[in-house]
Amino acid sequence: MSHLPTDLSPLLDPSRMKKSADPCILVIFGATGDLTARKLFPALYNLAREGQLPGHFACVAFARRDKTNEQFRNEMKEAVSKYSRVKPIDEDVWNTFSEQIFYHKSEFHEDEGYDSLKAQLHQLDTRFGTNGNRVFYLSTQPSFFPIIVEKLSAHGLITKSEFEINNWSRVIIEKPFGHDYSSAMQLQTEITQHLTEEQIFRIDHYLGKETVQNLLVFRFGNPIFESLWNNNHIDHVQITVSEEIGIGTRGKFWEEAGMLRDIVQNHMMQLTSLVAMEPPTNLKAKAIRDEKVKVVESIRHFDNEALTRSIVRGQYGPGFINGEEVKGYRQEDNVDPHSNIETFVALELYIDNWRWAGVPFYLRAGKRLPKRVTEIAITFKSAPGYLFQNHGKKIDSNILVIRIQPDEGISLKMNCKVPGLSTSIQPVNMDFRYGSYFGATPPEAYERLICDCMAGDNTLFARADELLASWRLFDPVLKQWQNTKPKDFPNYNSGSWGPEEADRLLEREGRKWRLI
Amino acid sequence: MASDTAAIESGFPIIADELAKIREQQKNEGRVFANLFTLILYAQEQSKIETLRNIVQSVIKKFPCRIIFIEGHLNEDFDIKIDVSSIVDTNNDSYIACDSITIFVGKHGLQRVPSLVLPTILPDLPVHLFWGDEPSKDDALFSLLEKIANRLIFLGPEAEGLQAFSTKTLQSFDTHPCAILDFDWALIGGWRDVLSSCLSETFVEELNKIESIHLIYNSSSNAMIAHPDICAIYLLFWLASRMGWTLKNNQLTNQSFEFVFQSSDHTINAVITSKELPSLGGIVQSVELANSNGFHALFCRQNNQAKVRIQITTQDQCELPYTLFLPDPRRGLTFMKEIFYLPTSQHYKQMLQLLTQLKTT
Repeated sequence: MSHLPTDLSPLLDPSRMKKSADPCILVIFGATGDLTARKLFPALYNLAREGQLPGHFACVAFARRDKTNEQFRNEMKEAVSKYSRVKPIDEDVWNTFSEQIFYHKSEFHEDEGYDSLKAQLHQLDTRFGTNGNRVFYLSTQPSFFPIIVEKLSAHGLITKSEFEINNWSRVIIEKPFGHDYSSAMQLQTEITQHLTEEQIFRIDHYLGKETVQNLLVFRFGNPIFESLWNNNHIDHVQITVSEEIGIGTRGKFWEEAGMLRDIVQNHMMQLTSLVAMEPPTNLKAKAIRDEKVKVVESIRHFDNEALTRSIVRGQYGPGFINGEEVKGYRQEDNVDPHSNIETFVALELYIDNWRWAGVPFYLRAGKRLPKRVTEIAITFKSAPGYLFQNHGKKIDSNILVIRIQPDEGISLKMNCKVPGLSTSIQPVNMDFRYGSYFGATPPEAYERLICDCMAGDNTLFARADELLASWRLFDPVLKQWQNTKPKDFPNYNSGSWGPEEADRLLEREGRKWRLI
Repeated sequence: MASDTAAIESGFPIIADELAKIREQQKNEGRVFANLFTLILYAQEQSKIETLRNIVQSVIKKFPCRIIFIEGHLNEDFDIKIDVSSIVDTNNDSYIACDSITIFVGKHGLQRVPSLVLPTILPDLPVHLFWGDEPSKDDALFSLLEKIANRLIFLGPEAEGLQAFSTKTLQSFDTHPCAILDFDWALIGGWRDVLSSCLSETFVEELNKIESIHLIYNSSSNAMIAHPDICAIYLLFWLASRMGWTLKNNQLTNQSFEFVFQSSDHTINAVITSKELPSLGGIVQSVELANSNGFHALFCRQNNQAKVRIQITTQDQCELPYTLFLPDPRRGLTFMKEIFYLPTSQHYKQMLQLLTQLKTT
């Protein structure tokens, strides 16, 4: 962990000390890909702009294409200008920052490339004072992870070691971590030959989102809510990850992945565990991650009946999004015209522990839905009896909504009396918006995550046991889908809220999906 | 109506982004946005569009809400145009503003409308659908919107379509999961309250012997009242249905509507006539009930005021006239509450039942 001992300098004020990133070199594998341009470099630039990058820092882009340092820097400047959350680009900041960016051409399997990389990093250590500390960001196809880690280890660029002050090495891995349980297990076995768990940072960028981090503060910093956060008061939980975009140019990826692998198995499980976890004993990474793992391990596994009854898959057909006509999944580029890959998943799951016994968690994720929304909605049980019937009908339940994106914030739906002589009831929202209260746009998820990795804090990264538990949960679903082809794909129009079967999942219990 | 408009002639803007921009601008002017529900309105005819626009102005005085106004111009050769703005009740110098989205739908644009409306619904709050056309199950847009609505409000039918409207609406109660309201029915709420409070248990025996009814309504045009004739017919048929009468005959002439009802032992002749009274407000101007036993009840609206003067005489007694107030739909909270909060009235259903007996000529 990184902090300067206070007894070293009389000038250091413990009350002002904040987590800071260690001097290090960040090496990005696959740096000419989309993620680097859209997310990583804008994140690094904003960290630099806000003084959050370590004073001693350099970045090396490792990729297969032929470029000079200058060419790569110019490309990244263009990307940052386009994708940074703060525009326009600050030329002074960029000029200083760009002097720390270097490009290294090599193939991922070439030993010469790793030798020359090692030499380059030594030189940069001397020049920038980075103390031999390394972060390797694997922004590549997952199939390259084992070979890259193996080569890094073989060339002494990473050493398997937990607690080093200097000369430490860490590896950031992007999802997907495996294709199913056995491939995830295999990848884990291969990587942990060369790295300890503490050195592996599995990114789930949802964990870097401000509102997701706020979940812990909201839950455990506000006792009035924590006392209601159980099956005595909560009727059900809905978690929605909705996108209005289609698969775009990622047809090839989607044909291998599908919605369950891309979103449900990772992002939605993270959200579920944060909503459902017990209070940790402290705010250290281990304590928080221990509680999250317990949630995933408590989720009731899908038996044969649940596999058909509690999970719905869908695939979008043609339709309209925001007034524009769009094609169906099977008409997208690089997609099999008879593809059975799902672009929508809805499921009902139960967490079998004291807190949540009997409370259904309804998860839905889909592409080409009417709008982009990620939210968690906690629906509370209705008031007992019929004190306020609202003309023979039960009044609306209270709903606490945590909006992850867009329009980050929290709202609470309550019932109020309409002014006048009669007792008519009107639901209203008590609303908190991050933007309204805190003004400036919050840091992007990748800024937080990269900074945390450089500081050695893996709280916001997925742990192996958590990941594997999640794969164990969904493996039977993947196998069943593999063996049972859907008969009705595509089964929802683009621009609708998914297949009708997903509605029936809730309607049979007298519930409805929220109209978002 | 003050508005800050981002009118987009073509293309499909991201409505949420445009709303956010307008809100930011309005915030600098000290305005606050409030929404109690999403109000979706649809009409094709220009007169109905104007009526609905006027209704919106009345609504936002009492209940700030997000307005999604769909104007059907289905004979015009264009696709879709969108106007995103805000509305403020400037008459009261209110600081509360409401989101306003207008979707102009041309010949080729109808299928696009749901994809523009669905993302704009306010989560967790009621959705009220105000349908300015005749309800039809063949209308794909109506079918989709009524599925998401908590409440359906109809502007009401034209006179010649009243029987069909009544039949269809009665069928709708079985198929629509939400409350159904009729704007014309709500407009006569005040008169229903006056008649029911004045013609109390004391007069039940006299009412059972009513032989003639004469109702006069104001046929001059009114910004919020599309069908004054329907309002008058509704009032009459409400009374008739409450008395348990059946309809024997009906006739429509240029000047009046004539009805013959049948009670258990006698017939009742009812006439509705219109008068152009542009200087007076209101819809129903007077209701006169009489029987051959000397019972006579006259309810008469007072000039341009929302007051009804009531005089009731029987064979044995002549009451002193007195006055009751009618709620003003332009300002009335009671009226608005009827539209947006009260459930479908059983009286309304029974009135519709009786209207299905109308003979179309």
